[in-house]
Amino acid sequence: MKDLPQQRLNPKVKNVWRLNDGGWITIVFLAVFVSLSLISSDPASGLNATFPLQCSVVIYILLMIIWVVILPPIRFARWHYELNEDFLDIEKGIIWHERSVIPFIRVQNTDTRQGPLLRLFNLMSVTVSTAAGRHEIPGLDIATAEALRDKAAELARLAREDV
Amino acid sequence: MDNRTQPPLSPRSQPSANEPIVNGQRYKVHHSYIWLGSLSAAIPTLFVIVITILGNKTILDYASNSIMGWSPALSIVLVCIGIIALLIVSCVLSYYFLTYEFTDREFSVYSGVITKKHVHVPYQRVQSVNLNAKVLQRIFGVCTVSIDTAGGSSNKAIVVPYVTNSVAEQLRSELFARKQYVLAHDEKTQTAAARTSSQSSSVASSGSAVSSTSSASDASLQPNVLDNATDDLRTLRGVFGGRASDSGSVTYEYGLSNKELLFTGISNEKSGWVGFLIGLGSLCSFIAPLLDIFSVKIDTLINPRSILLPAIGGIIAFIIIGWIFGIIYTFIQFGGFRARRRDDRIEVERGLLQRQFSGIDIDRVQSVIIKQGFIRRCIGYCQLSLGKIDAATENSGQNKNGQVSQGGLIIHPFVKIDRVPELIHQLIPEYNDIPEPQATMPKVALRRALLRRCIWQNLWLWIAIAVAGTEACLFQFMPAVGSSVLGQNTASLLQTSDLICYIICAIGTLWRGISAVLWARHSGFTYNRSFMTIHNDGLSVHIVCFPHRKIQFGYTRTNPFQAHANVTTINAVTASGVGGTRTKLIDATTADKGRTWLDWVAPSHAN
Repeated sequence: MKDLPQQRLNPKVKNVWRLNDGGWITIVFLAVFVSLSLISSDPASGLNATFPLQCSVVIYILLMIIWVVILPPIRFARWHYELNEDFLDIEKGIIWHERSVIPFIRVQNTDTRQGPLLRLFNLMSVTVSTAAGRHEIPGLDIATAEALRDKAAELARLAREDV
Repeated sequence: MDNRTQPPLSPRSQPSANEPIVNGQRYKVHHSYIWLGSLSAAIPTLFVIVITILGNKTILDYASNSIMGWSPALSIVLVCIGIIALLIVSCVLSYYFLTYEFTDREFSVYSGVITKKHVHVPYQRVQSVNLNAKVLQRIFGVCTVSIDTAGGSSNKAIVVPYVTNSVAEQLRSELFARKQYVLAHDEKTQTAAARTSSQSSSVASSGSAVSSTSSASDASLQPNVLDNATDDLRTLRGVFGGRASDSGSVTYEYGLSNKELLFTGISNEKSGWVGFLIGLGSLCSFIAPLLDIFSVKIDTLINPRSILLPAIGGIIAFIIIGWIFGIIYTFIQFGGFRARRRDDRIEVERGLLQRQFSGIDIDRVQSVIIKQGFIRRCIGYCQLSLGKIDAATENSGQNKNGQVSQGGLIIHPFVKIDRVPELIHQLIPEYNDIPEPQATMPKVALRRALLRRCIWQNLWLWIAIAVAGTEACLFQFMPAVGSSVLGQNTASLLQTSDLICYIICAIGTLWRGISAVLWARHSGFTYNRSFMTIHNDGLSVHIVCFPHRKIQFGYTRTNPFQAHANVTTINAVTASGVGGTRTKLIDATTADKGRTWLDWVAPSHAN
């Protein structure tokens, strides 16, 4: 087996990850922050929530730095895939390196998906499902994603219908 | 009734066994669906009602004041009768709307009174057909047919309840025959898929060659004490059983001998564990209030050692009782066990009271699994089972083979390890050239296994540390509080129980250590052109063999420590079970095998 599969994701996917993760972290942070400041602004409660407030801001900044600045480039650098003649080869994972081989004759169906964030960047994600689990390739440009889906579907059609 | 929902041919009650099944004809299930179904639904319902009424004080109070001159007992009886009547009415209604049908390419089941439900199964999607009969059903010679399909991860079994035995057998043979026909037909037209199918067709042809040469060997039919009884029951076939229908030639068949049946029960250590847990639980619940009440008053009377002996004795007694119940349970489960090869199918039937019959096509077998518990490893026996795709049960009421779906289809519960190749050769000759398990672990695996199993993943160690921490808190940091709150004697009792806890933890750790050493010495994985074997050794052994074409996908997973030691965890995923099964081997060498194994998984390198 080759050291690394050749193809990479579309670099724009880093921004998708940034927006997605940053958005979720911000939502959770806002929920915590607003409720904490409501408690502390209410004089009747008699609680002083300044320390938890400071803590939540620090944690928020830390999480944002990790998920928006540090992780996306590493994740992108570690995501490789290759569409071989009859199998799909994926290498990913930052700490746990994972190398998967999915023969196309075992593939039952392939889907492309495009959420609002992916549509914003003109990207698509492809999901390859076998009888025992699914694999997702996030963030390919539309032409590549559709070519991959069609090729996988064509090869999957040749497979016998037994499991 | 709406005319449009009426089928083209009006539903017929039941096909008789000799009559061929007509395409497009809708058949009803047996009428025992009504009365046996409502009976088996009524008994638990009534039970629940009685328990709630007796347990609930307000209802009892309410019922004891007679309302409008009604006697309270009478009103309760009336409520029960009403509920039973409702059950019967619902059973009658659903009986009239429950039909099944064979068409050219699929088998359909229609059900539902208000919400109509149509289930269609293309014949080639049939994985296995199972016949299942509870005690009452057996008396009347009816059974429930459930059809497993390969419908992805959330597939459900198609259930045809309450058909007579002969009709069930006819259904089964019809399904398999039609599936064979459809597949053969497809093969002719689909030459494009020749490359992928050549492997399996060559396997099939070799299988038929073997099955034609080897005749049914009666020598392997060793009867046991329970077989006579089950044979009688089988020949009786119940009230509505009908005649048996032949569905192919049997080329190999075997049962269990007396010794095998007995040892199946004895070597089942799970039951002993259950007994141990029950014993421990009841002991704790018995001792805890005792301590609460007496710890201060009779502090001086209780000698910790006088409690210890009865406690250990009690636990041992519970283990033995659990074991005996386990043996009886095994007898009921595996009484009348029969496994046979019929044409291209493997059929297994078992069960003394609740009869289970499973039939699976040979090319639907996902893997061969050899399992050894501790006791079985010591005496050199193992359990042999086949991995198959299981369907989630459609509804919990018609409980399918709960046992079977956990460990695959058991084709021999207790077989000497030397006999396994012979059994495989006779029953599944397609799996003749599975590679022998070999020890392929690198040296570093032993160190890593010891660290992993004795420290990181060792629950016993963490329990011991937690106990030690609590004890230290109690006796070192707050000695004054400790001795004043707990009496002197209770404190020593506590210390004794802590000591016992440490001893149990030490034994557990030792057990895991021995297991880790054995694992590192004997485990490994091997593969040849078309098969692969993953062998996880230890005090209990788990060997899985599967053909290359049944691997859905494979992956390796490496953490930084493993990368440093040049090892990796290999994972092979097959579709057996519900939603797939992952078989893994931790710390296989990357240097030569881990990477090339992925090459082997990729189809172009296999052929």
